Amino acid sequence: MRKIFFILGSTFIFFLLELLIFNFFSQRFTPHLMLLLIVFFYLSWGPRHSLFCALWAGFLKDCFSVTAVGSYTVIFIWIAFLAPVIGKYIYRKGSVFLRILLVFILLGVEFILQCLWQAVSGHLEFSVAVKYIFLPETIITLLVTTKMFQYLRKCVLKLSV
Amino acid sequence: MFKNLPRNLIYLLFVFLLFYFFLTRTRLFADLRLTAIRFVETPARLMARPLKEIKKILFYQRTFQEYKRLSKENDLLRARFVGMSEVIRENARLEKLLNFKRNLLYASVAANVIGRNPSQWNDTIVIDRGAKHGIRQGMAVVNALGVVGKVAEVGSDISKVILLTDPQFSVAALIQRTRDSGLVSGTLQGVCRMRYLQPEAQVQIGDKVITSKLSSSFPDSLIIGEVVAIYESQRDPSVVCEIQPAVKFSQLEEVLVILK
Repeated sequence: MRKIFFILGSTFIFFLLELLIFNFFSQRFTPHLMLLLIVFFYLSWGPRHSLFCALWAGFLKDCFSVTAVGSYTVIFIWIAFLAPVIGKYIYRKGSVFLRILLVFILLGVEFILQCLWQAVSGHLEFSVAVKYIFLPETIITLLVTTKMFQYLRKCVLKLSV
Repeated sequence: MFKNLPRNLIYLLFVFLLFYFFLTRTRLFADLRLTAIRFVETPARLMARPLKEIKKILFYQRTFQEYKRLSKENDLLRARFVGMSEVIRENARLEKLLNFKRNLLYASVAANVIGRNPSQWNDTIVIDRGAKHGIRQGMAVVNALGVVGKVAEVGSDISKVILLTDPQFSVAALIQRTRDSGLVSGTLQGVCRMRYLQPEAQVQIGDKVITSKLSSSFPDSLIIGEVVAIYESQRDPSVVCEIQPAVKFSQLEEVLVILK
């Protein structure tokens, strides 16, 4: 139960943090904290907790969106589902590089899913999306990955004591 | 769960299609989502308060320069207005004579911006006025600088506004100087694009773009922005303009919803 509350609380706080960074600092260079949380919970507690986090994070994101109901929820569930599938082949426990690689691949998957969603609604400009969304978001997310994982690891260790 | 990968992938694809084909066409859960925003908005506002103050201190010099510039501009406009007031009075007299009834003032509702969608894919804001205050879907949202966007979703006392820079937004527009008409829509770059201008359109960089009478949701002559780039369309024989919106969306705090 403690894990569930931790997921609910941390996802909410990181969502607020993402909201603040987006509104007050930089819209282009906002790290994808929700995706990092999904990956972190998969690596720490397994796919079920990661899926739960995806569901909650997706709901929060969808609240602010005017796109299709549940578009973020569906995309995040896909990410939570694919994280163990991809992680099984590329991730080795303890490797910082492979952890960053996993995050990078999942950012790519999320971008492709978003592009598909946009293409269905007829508003996709792929090259623009790569240049203005994927590249800045990926760079900043990969830069904060290690620090954020270290911080979350400390919180999780405190929780298990 | 992860042992039967192909089967689970089919399930997920099914869920994806289900969401798309059914939920996108209904307004299900709209109120639930709008209520949830309230829970996020309050702590977000509390967290944002100290940040706002820090930002004010950090950008003090810039704000002061802006104040000096606006103060000068205000003096200039006041001076011009003295001359203009006579013209306005004369115009009013002549309009009366011609029995020319114009309705330049629109009923509107002022609203505060209480949130912004933290997504790079869509540009939307949340305002603290809803159906209770007479707001309906599709109504125009403006501020003193020009067009802000359109109401996309309405709750009882909260609404979502799709911004001018969102790829899903579009409005019929005119180049103010030449009266060439086209369609302005948002892009992922944070600027707007004016499409379907005639190839012979005499557009220049710096031209003002305004809303057209052809627009169903916006009153005409509202400022959209300024042309910053012009190029030929690769898809059809027309001219495309890139437009810098007049409104600074990052500084948006209050808006007006036009009840029309």
